[in-house]
Amino acid sequence: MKGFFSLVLHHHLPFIKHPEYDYFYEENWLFEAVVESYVPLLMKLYALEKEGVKFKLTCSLSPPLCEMLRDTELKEKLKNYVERLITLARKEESRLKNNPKFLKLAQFYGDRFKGIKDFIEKELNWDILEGYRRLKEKGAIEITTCGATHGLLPALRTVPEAVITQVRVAVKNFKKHFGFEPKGMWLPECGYYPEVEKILREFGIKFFFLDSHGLLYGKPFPKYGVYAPVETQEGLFAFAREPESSKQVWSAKEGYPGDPWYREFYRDIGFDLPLEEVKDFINPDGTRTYTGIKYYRITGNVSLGEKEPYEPSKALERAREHADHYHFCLDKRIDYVKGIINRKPLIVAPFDAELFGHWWFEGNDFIYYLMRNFNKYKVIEATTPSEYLEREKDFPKSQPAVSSWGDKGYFDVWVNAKNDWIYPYLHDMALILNGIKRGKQFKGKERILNQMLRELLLAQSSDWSFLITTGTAGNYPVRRLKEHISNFYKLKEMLEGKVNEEFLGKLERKNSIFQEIDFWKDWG
Amino acid sequence: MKREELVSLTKKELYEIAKKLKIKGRGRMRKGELLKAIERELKLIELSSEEEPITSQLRREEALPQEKEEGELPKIENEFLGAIPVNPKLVYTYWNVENAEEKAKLELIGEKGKIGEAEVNLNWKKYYFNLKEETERVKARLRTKNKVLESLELSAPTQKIHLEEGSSFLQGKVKELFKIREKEIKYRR
Repeated sequence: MKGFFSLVLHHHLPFIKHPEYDYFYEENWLFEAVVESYVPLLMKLYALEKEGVKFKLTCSLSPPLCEMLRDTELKEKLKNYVERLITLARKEESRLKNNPKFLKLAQFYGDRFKGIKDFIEKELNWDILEGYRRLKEKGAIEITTCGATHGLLPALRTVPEAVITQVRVAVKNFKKHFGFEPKGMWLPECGYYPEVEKILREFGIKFFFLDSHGLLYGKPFPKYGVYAPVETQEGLFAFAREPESSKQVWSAKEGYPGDPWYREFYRDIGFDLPLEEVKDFINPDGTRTYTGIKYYRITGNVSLGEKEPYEPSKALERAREHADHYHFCLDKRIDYVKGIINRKPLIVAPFDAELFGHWWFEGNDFIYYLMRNFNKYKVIEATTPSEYLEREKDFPKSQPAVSSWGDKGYFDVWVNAKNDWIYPYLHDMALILNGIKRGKQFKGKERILNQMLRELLLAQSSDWSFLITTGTAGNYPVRRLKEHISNFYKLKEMLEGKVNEEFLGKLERKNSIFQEIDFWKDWG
Repeated sequence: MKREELVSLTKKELYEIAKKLKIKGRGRMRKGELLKAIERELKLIELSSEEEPITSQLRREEALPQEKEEGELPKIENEFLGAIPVNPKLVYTYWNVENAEEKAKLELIGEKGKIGEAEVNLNWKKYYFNLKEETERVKARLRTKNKVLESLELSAPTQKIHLEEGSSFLQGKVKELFKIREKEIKYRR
């Protein structure tokens, strides 16, 4: 064995729940991620288990995602979503009965969706998190937590209590869902500043992840580069992304996901078919949406209209070949680095979990084959941070640098002229909660205080500022921010004035994240 | 019907066409949205006469607004000054103070003293400092006629490589590693 490989899949979606609607477009992000990414990943990992293949990887599961996956109302909607998919696939089978080429594809989807439903129902009893918990129990995966609502900590630190609360609520929520304390934290967006470590340590966090430059600009330059974690002044361990191994998977152009045989994301029957055929499977207001049924492959650098039909078996073959190629490259890289550092290198490869399956349809097959390769060749060992820290020693001491994994490596994505109006509000709301906590005159108003804290936490989510910058979710992020901010100030008025029971009740049901929250204990 | 012809129609006429085409949500659409929806539907009708599955160039459209947008944002209550380092060359400062008509002096202080200064109108409520030199720590100070506000002092990003003796490893590789970063394309929603 020459070196280690640590795959880290960061699972996160913002908390989106609209009980006031039977169908709400943005709620589907969760259902799509479950059906396209999380469950296919679990199915592949369960298959490896059954085949007796040893594998190791890390799953970071953000608190908002955990809360949504365990929410009763969202679970009901997920069930409907899965049923609708199966119905659509069956409908496609009958529509295409005289078209052998595409009929096969429709059947492929029908079987796939049915298989996914059976797995969720029979293996998981509709409790997706249980799948992760079981794998953790068997020692196959390590689960880490994240900021309570994925708040970008370096931008929230202008009022330190906000950061403390993001960490405390996350750790508490993790324990609620998994029954044990998390050892590691995925800092939201890998957003890091040195002073955050004191807070992490206070809540029992032992390691976290950074982008490469977080370590390489560290003081002093760590002698193993990104090929070993560093021990910081606070006695925590920082693992950094290895750039080369990430690029092959991230990059749409140079990386594997752009292979001509892989499925084309943008050709979906939700857009391709006459409205009449798909109207029950898209937005009920008639807006076309992705359905998840896609019949074409990437083909090459051609327009969407010139795409060739998808061939699942060929694509699967490519995933296997890419896993072989990836393993080969890792092996070469480890040889090369080992020659320089004179130590078994660790390669850390962190990704958004939603890349696999959702964007890169065959991504989870790739992971499956890659884990089989580690098991077969035994030259590289798949590991998790906790296991690695137990087995290896002699980590260079270094203080990592302020950084993130966003575009340009810092905070431009989340703090710019489009979205900077958020921060004075987040600052003010945090100061208001500080004042209330100091004053203690609102003892007995816990329902209102807890909801105020929920509204602030939801407004702190880095997703809103991200989506405002990219413009990929229309006006939704601005609406959500305005909603949480105005809810917060309305609730504050209710502390001193009349309580609007109906309003409070509605917020408690809708923005219901963190039922366990306790303002007096959890804030600051 | 061609686009030029559609554009010349009134909203009411477009609505009538949308009705005939059974476009859902038409009652809530603005003129531009009606036009888009009609064009899309006509394109689909044209395409659906071709052999299936249809070849379509149509891309995802944004979901229609399902909720009315909230009105004005509430008034900020506390007085404060905040500073967030955005990257090694940029610091975002924001504040909330009374007497917003006044002018005031905004200063940026690094570990070696003042590194930036600007005269600001308080009603701007924000200011971005471009740094000439990187700094490891930063805080802002706002001097108005009758008070001085300070932000917290925060650690800031720097792009220095702190090589020590004996850490020659990757010295030459560091640049190569960063070139890779620049080329990356991320998949995010």
